[in-house]
Amino acid sequence: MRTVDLLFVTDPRFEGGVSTAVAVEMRAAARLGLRCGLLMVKGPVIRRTLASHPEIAAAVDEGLVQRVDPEEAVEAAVVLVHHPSILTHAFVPRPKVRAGRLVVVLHHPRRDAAGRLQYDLDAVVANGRMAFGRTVEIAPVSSVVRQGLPARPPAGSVVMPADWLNLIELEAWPRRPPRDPQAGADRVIIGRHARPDPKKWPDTIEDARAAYPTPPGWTVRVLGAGDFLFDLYPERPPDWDLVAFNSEPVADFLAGLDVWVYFHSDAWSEAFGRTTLEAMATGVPVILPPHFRPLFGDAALYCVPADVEATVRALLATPGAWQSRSDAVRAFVEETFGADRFARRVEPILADGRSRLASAQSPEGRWSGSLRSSPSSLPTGSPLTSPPVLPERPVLFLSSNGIGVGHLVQQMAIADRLSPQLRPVFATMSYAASVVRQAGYPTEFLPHHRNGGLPVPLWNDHMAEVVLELLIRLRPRVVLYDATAAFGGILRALEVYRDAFTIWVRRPMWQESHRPFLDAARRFDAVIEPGELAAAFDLGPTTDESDLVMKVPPVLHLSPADRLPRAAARRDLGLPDDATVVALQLGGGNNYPLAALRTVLVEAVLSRPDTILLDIRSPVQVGPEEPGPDHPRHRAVRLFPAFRHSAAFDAAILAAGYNAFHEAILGAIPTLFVPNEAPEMDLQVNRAIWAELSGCGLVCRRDLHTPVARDLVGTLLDPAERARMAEACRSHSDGANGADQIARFVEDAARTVRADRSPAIRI
Amino acid sequence: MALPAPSVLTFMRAFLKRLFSDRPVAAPDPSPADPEDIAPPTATPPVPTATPPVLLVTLLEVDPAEHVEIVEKVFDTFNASHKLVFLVSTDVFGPFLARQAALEYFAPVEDQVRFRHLMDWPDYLAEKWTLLLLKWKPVSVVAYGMNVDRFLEAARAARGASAA
Repeated sequence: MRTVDLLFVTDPRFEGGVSTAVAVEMRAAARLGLRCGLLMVKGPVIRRTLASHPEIAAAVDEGLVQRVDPEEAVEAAVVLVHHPSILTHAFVPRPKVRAGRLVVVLHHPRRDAAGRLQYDLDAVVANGRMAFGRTVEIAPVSSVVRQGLPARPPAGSVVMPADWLNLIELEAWPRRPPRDPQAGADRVIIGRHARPDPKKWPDTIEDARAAYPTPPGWTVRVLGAGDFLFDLYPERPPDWDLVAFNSEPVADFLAGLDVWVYFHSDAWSEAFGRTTLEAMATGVPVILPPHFRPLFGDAALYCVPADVEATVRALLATPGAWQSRSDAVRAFVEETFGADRFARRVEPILADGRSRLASAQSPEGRWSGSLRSSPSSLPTGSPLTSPPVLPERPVLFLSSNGIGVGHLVQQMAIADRLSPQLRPVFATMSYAASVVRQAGYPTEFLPHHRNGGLPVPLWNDHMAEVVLELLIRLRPRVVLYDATAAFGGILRALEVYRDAFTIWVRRPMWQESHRPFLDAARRFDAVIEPGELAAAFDLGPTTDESDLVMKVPPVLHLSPADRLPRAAARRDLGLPDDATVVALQLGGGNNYPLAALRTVLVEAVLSRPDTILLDIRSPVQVGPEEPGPDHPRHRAVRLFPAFRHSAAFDAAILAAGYNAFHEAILGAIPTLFVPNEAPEMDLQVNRAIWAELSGCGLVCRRDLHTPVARDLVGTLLDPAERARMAEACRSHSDGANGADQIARFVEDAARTVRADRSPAIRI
Repeated sequence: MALPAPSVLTFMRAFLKRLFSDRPVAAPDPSPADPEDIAPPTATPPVPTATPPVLLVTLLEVDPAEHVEIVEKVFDTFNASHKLVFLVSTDVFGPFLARQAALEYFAPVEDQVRFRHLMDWPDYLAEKWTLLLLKWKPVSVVAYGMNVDRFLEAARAARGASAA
């Protein structure tokens, strides 16, 4: 059994102040030398696909807090549940946590300003007790939240006497430079920062204009803008400088402000206002509606929207007033919200929690056996020095595709990057299953409906049953599905199984005919879209729902830096150093015949005396044996992954499938792209056009360019042109591989408790 | 080979049907429009209305070097009268796809032993075998090498020996 001092329980995907506040506590706890665990929860609030908040991810990466597996037995002196919404439903699975004390921090008022219930406190308490078997100690983050509590707390709960104020690390918020005392009110920069949500804005354009005035010389900067603002205020003042959420470091943004102004919807009840706290920490005077006075006292200025301009002018016109206010807000934050207050807050609770764990079995405790750990092995305040070994869990990679390896390669890119505690298992419809098996992964082959020609409904029924049989034995924590077609049979099996976090890794560039599959996104827990360099030319259906998915950089099986050096690659392939090597890989071509064009391209390459054409064939043979080349400089080779040897290539002639295209561009390989334009394919042609227009490659479309194909090959073989293309390619490489981000997402998902839906089954 | 008792399958099918009978919109069944989900050159065309009886041919743990010869022999003998489905324990599918054969797959015993810690593979494959019989409803099962029962017994024995 693992022992920790503090077990943080939260949905790490919260975008705003909640995650920031939690991360501050994690860092503060680490500074105190506490052992901290993190039990991640998928709550019901966030429906779109989001990764963990970067500050929480950083705390995990730095070892300040360590993931806890949902089924791992843990002793925690204090369990700290952040945000009531994650206790809307019962936790699945039930945590095996023995807690000394259980604190549930209410980061949100129970009702909004219009009186609408935001969460059911009775359910929160009941689910907290169900999960951890302790009295729930309710900790409101502010007086606003406290005032909204019922007169009598729900049975099984108590309300903590002091507010659980959000804390802030002053050192992370350097003071803005002093303002020129002579600057007056002629040139003023007003700013605000909030997550993009219409409730965070005044209800009317009149109030918004008044709160964020732009007389001559004044600027309003908005961090956290978005399209929603255009819907909310179709006639927004043009002088506002709109900056997207998270697109600028907050500290830098605040350092450029003279005054912070924050007004929100009358229907919104702001529990705390962390962004205001950050502005104050930076030394920026703040102007707020009067209802914030209980939280920020005399440190802030208060008025109604109509009085903002006058309040600003008064502040700036009075010599020394701005500086005094700046000093005051910074001092107020340090005194009231400094992170060092965390020790005073948690130490007594921890001591009591440890004492409860060490004492005889609490009447409330659900663990009937004696403690396996002696009191001396209870949490001691010693930080863990090495990451714990989490229990091994299977991860199932399900994929479609027939003769190709595209989806499998993408899945291997992710699987190769998982920690040893996550065990990838593949189940694929690809005839190239051997590629995965040879890589050392357990592999199941499930034939596609086109193999055997079974009517599709019957095939789906069979698939549902077989996949369910696999799931209930393998019991994967995460299932990654990689395909465009979301087969009904597979979806049914996943929904019956329920115990896996399901992720659809869905590439963009769909043709319009794929649109019916879009709705399947709602039947997965997450949808991740691998990056597409040619995204600007994507006119397909997925662009309509791009806000719902998590986008990552292009996914590569091998990163360019993982390739063999040129000399070694040439040696491996038996290629002379001085030859001009052109790789050729046009795909199966059975649905888009390319034989005539291929012949022209091959002849054009071989017409140059210094060339070698490396004809790269599929790693698996799925049809009759292809005839061998009949030219001494035309060599056929089965090579997988071909990209590993690509430094040996001077140029390439490739189809514009996702993997080949991105490998070519990010590997800076000058390439003539021959898109497969069959109606069932993705929009390869747009990738190829993008490559040409961005200077990264050339496009050769079968039906338009065959007469000039020889000339295109001539351009490809021109050393100056190749150098130009390679240079253009390099401008698109920032070293990021989306596979790393997806693997990170899977690591989190595999250790996540489900609380986003009722566990009750409706039959 | 006798078909297995249908109780487990009957229950499973009824269970799935009941769970989804009132689902308003299921995900669409796959259309031909699936990038990289291309019909391979050897894909079998859709089953015509009057389908021939299915002959299920098992080649479990059979030396891959013999596959081409066996496939040729089976096709020469039965293709005119039967729809042929091959159950194999190899992932070298070329010889079968070259003749447009329908394929089913059991993980080889070696893999079942190697990955025994992940799940009970023989138990899974026994259930899968039952489902395959329901899927194809073969009029006959012809075994080259081990039949399915012996294959599963061998897998269980190897698993047990390895665990010991």
